[in-house]
Amino acid sequence: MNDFFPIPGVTLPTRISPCPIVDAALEIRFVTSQSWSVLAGLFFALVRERYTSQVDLPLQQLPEEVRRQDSSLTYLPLVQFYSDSFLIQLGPRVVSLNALPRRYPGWTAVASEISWLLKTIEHGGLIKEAERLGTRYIDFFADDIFPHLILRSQIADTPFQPRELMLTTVLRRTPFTARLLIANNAVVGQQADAKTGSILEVDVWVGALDFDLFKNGRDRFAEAHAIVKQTFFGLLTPEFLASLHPEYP
Amino acid sequence: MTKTLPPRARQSAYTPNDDLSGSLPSSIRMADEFHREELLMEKLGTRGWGRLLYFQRCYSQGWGENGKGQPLSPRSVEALFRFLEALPTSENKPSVFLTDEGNVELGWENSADAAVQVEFTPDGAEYFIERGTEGTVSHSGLAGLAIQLAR
Repeated sequence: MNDFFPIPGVTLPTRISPCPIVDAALEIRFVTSQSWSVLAGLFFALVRERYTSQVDLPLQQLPEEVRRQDSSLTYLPLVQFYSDSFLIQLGPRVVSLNALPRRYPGWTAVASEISWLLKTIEHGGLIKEAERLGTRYIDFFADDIFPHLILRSQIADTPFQPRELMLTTVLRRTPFTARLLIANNAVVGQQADAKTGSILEVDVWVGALDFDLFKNGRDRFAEAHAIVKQTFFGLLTPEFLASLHPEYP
Repeated sequence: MTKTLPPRARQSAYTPNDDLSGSLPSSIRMADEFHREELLMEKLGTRGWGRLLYFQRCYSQGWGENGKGQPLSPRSVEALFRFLEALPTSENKPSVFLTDEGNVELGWENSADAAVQVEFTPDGAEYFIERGTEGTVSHSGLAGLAIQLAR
């Protein structure tokens, strides 16, 4: 597959304010010889020193056989483990490290934590083989984000700026694939916390043959994060970026 | 009595407005997925396509006696697809097997009626030709191996 990444390179800030990140997840899909009932317990034993509390997700109530037959459930987590700064989500075929909602600690802290998690998983010997490695960031803005992007939609020569617009596309920079989703009418948060606005989601991943989890997994996560960051900042207009008070190294 | 399923795990930090959140009808599939299924049907036939699908659904965790069979290897499956991309289409469709190590294996008889076996491993492939040669190739050699074995 040919590369397709038409987003211009820009100087990347180290911080913007206010931070628009509402979700940041580093995800590994894998296969294991362990059954789910054994896996969850073994995993908790590995991480419990840092991740002291555990929350079962509703999907866990479904029988394993039912979950296995429905491919849309294959990579969903069944349990969450919480530390003071991060959240780990675990399912029979997936594990992800997430920043706590709206408390993104910065890439240096994320990179350090994923490094620890990879070493812990390797030590535990729970993963037979990794299938996919991905990094997903979701940013939220209270306003319509489309006028602040260099990406334009139009019908014939007339700008197309509907009140409700969702745009999804796939970009490629070998060996990475990136899915970009932008919507101007989304709800973030729940119940009293819910806010309506725009989201910009970038999900970057590599397939099974393009990484070795315990040899170059950390580097692949860093490369995926760099693509996420370049996609995000490369899409913003200079005026909008300036309004976010960027700090540069 | 009506029973409802429990809600799904929260998978995303946001929900698109109802008017934006419709999903694709079941009759529509994404092109990459469609291409892979077409490739399996063309090179392995309906039976081979069905067997691989079955392995993916039911053998992605430990299986067999005491769960000693290894789960289906994602790298082996990716290697299979690279091989099939280059394998010329033939009336003589290979049979598909799953090894105890969790690797996909193809077996067929070539034009000289010799048995051919290829096991796709996480590192490439191991092949065997009856009354002929055997060996291993890395992932970069899979396309060449497909052309060589199709003779």
